[in-house]
Amino acid sequence: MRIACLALVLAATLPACAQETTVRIRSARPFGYFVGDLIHARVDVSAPADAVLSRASLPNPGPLTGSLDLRDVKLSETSENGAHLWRLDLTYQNFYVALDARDIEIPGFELSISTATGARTIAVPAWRIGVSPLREVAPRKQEQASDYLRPDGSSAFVNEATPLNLAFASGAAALLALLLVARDRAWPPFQQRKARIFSALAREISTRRSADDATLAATIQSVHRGLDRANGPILLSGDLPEFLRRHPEFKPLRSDFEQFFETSKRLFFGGESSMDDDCAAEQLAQFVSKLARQERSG
Amino acid sequence: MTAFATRIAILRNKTRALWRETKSSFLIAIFLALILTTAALLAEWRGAVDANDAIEALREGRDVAVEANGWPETILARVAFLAARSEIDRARALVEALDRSASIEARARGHYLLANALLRKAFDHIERSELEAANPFVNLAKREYRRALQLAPDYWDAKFNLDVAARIVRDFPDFERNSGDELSADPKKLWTDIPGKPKGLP
Repeated sequence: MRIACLALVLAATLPACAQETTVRIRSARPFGYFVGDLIHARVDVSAPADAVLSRASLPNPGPLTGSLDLRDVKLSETSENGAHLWRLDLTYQNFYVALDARDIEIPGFELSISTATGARTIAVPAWRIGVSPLREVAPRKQEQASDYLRPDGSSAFVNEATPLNLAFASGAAALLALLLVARDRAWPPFQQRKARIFSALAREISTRRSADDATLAATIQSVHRGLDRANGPILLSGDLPEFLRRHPEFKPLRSDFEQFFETSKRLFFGGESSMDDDCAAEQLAQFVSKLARQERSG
Repeated sequence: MTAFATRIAILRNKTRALWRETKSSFLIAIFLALILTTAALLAEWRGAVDANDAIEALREGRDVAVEANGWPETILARVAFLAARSEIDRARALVEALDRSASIEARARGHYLLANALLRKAFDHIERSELEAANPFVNLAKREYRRALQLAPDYWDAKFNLDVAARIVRDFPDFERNSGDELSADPKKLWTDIPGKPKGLP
């Protein structure tokens, strides 16, 4: 709520204990309210530190007079310099139809507080705001009486674009979900899909090489396991022609296959221990990546 | 640190296993939910199109029955239709239905339309010099405008028309008010008067 500080400030004149309790009323502006406008007012009540405000004495929202409603009451409590401060944010609504600019009275009310010395009431005095007319006193002559009124206005339509767009989006998402389900269950057109054995193998080998814990023997073994998986039964060098007949996509790699089996035989059965590890590992990695490429194209 | 990393790894593996196990049924559930959502949205769109057809008919002056628990826009269109034809009682029933469910703006507009109908009726009486008969209509209209403004304080058309109504019949408080919130705004404590229509020189 915007409260201009220049607003009217009323100090309550309580004769007996004027130095102890004060009441300040500020309003956003004290003039220029039309019929139906909301009037925001802030009432600051300060009292001795030990005082307790009775909530029941707060004004109740509802009609105050024939032309003034109290809509909302908000209370906040603070302490300041040993004094208790209650801040009441009041929202009124003006229904006074002014014929000319004039002041109307916002009625005061009383708050009860109890202190060590007993219960007391604090009077929040009545204050005035200026209301303004909305039309001139003698409007121009109209042909029909109902022409003095603002028109009914035309009826609004229901928003039908939003549900339609949402339905399209949701339908598209449902189709996507259906595709995912079909892929998951290998329904057509996904029944041909096979595991990418060599792609996974190529990834594994490259991570192992970058982590520098690759021995040539272990790498060759894992390539053997990959070939076995692709073949079904274990693939030996003698089974190569049969394997290439069943997997024609690997035919261009026949010489690489033969070289691989040769290397493997020399390492495991030839008793050779002075192989150039780095060079062989590089060749092996190239072989596997070629296999992966053929696998994807197949 | 390593124990922590192991635990993380175990957790990740468990999550992966759970995902592999539940993936199939999860996908099916997502798919079914999306199908149901689409169906519901299409039904809502269909309803909106029907409602707009009804509103179009009412704007063109053809009467269409509306359900009291239907779309607020349709009810408002029918209130406007009835209000333009001075069918105040039937319009009031629909405004009361709006009060039970609709948004603040729709309710404010309902009360505004009803008030306009009441005030036009009062003008009819005044033009026929039936001032006594006009009086209650003006007061009812003022009450409805006030209701509309209580709901929507920035409803400028309602402010203007309340101004018009209030100048036909002024409210005069019957006693001085001095003490604030204990006072009721009982309409019986106000007396209302209608200034006589000048009939010309004798």
